[in-house]
Amino acid sequence: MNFELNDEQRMLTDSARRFFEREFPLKRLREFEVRGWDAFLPVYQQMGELGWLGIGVPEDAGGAGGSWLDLELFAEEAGRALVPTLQITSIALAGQALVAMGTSAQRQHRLAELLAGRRVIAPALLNDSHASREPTSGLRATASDGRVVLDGKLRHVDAFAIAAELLVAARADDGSVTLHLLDRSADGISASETTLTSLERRHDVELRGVACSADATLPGDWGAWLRIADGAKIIAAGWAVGATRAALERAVAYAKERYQFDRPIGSFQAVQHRLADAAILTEQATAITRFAAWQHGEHGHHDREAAMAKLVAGRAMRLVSNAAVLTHGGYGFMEEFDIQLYVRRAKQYEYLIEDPTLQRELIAAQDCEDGIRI
Amino acid sequence: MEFEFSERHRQFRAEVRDFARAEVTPELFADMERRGSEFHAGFHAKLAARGWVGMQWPREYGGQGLDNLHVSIFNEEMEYRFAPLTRSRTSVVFVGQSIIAFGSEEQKRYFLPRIARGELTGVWALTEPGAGSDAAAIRLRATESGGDWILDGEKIFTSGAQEADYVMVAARSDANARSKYHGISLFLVPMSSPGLTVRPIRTTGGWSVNQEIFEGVRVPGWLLLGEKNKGWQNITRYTLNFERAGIARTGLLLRLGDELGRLLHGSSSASALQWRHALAELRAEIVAARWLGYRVAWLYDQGQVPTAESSMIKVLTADLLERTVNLGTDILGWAGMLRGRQAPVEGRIEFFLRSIWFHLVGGGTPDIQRNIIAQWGLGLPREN
Repeated sequence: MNFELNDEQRMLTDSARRFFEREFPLKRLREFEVRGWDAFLPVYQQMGELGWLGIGVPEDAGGAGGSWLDLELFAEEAGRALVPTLQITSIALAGQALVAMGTSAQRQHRLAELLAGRRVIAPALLNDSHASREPTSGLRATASDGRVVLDGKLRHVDAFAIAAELLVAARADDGSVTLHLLDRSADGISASETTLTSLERRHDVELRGVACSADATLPGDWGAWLRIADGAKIIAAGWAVGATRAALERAVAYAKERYQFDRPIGSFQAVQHRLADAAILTEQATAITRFAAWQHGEHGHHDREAAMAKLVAGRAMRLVSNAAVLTHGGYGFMEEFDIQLYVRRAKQYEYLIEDPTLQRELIAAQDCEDGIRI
Repeated sequence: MEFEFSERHRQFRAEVRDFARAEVTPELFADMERRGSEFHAGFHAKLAARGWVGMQWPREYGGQGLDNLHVSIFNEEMEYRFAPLTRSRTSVVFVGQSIIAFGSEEQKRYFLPRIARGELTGVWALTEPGAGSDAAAIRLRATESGGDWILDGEKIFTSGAQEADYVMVAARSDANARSKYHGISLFLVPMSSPGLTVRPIRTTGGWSVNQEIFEGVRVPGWLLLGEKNKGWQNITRYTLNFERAGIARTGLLLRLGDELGRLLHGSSSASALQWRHALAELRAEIVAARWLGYRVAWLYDQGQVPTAESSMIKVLTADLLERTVNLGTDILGWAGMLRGRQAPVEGRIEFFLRSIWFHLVGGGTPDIQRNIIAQWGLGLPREN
């Protein structure tokens, strides 16, 4: 047992923090909000050049190696800078699906580009506004002349505009559900853009008779996909943990410098206690998320702890960023102040990959004694 | 960073678990209930015989030289069975650890082996009627007299004083010190001292805490604990942190979470369906608190005294206990308000429902813990 970062982890997180401070300060995040992907992709490709997009991908698959905990610690630094979560979308989900479920031919011409940040694959798995663990795909797959033809609707697709391919799940006539990689510019795909609280764009996508070649079908089963989603949820939790800690630090700094009644507002117990609670939430979320990441890397998939990390970290982000805004008073929700950038992402982080209600259900559905687990 | 328990830790957990299963019996609780006490001498003696009282102390003082993760594992497994640990905790963590941190060699050699063998128990008396959250506002007076000390005054809410052998007392030894935080000294006082009387005060939980009246109580000079007039500095640096880190209620929370989970699992009643997600969220928070607790124990093992984190784990687990018990009552309905060990979950939901403040307030109120986190942990300024 050792709660301290090892030398490599410290080097990784230090250099990631310096990199994001330099290359993606909040001023760049504001540009991203206005200009979209153009303002982020150069940074994303630098992350690829530095090998960071390959963390947690085995070296024999072309990745940078490193443990799942290393990736989680890196995610905390990215979250601290509110870096867009494209790495989760395109790599922790789509890239890991290629690694775990794809054929070597499928990996070969995609993975290297994916890890370099020069190619994006966008998972498109939401049939409505809530994620599901059941393979109740809204897409229908029909076999025709050695090809698969897809029909149906998908919602809230991240990174659609920059994706080379979509990763979709479709149900065949025999009821089986399989994952397919779909050329995003294929005939029959139409999309309409939406805008989230964070000003990030999503797309609602419709597929009408979209043909994809049979060799674009990932051979793995739905259970394999759920294991990938669980791993990626821990990385999403890491993003939330980093953002939570940054919001807390900003609130504390503001409480020390903001004077009212001739004293710093941080000297008032009402403010102190709110921030003390925020600090507890932050430490609690950090503890479970790091443990879940370590467990996922060392002992394989545990859906219960992954759900717990996702739930606790998302909750911390929501409550702590709200506490941080309240600490700023009226300035808290003025666009020119930075603290609103955190709170406008809180709900989104809570919903990344799978929403909190689903996490509660996952935990509740298991007959499990936490007291004897360990 | 890695979170694997060593083989030694695993074996120790299995050993404690087997012991707790066999030794924490209904008869034990019936016996304590009959005597209105939270202490069981026979059980305490068995813990001592295993070497588990003071296990974290060096061998030369009767300990086992085990790390704090062992202590966390021990607490977790024992609390999972609702084992009575209060007195071994006050003796080992509050009194014994303080002696290790700032006591004399003579005190270490006298007290620690006796505590470890289970021959001597100690309790800790800080609070006075006029010094609660303002704990340094101590009025109990200590006057030097021919190498001895004479104590006069009053302490209140001392757990276990009626049956303990020694009480660790904070007293004002310099009335002219420059502030209330200076001029405080600590003493190890035999409970059998002439002039010391104890009046029990019954808590809503059914057991008693105590009020102690000191009237010219003579304490031999060698029982002054730590440097004269530096008592406040010692207890804020050591004792109070040990106390807060030591009363994390993780094992209890895990047990109640598991019990409530069993009640709901597989039930399709409308009320069960209503509460399962609320319980799921609490259980996630409890597991998160478990790992925060291990981190605090590990920090102590690294020689650190993590003040803010100790307060965090104390206030977090007490809050979680309050929320768990409230949810437990909602799940059980009227049955959650029935007294006695025949009630669901061995009556523990009802018991904590009426005694939760022992966990919330004991060791410092939640308000004070939050002050400590804000001021020591976050560096926010004090109000004055």
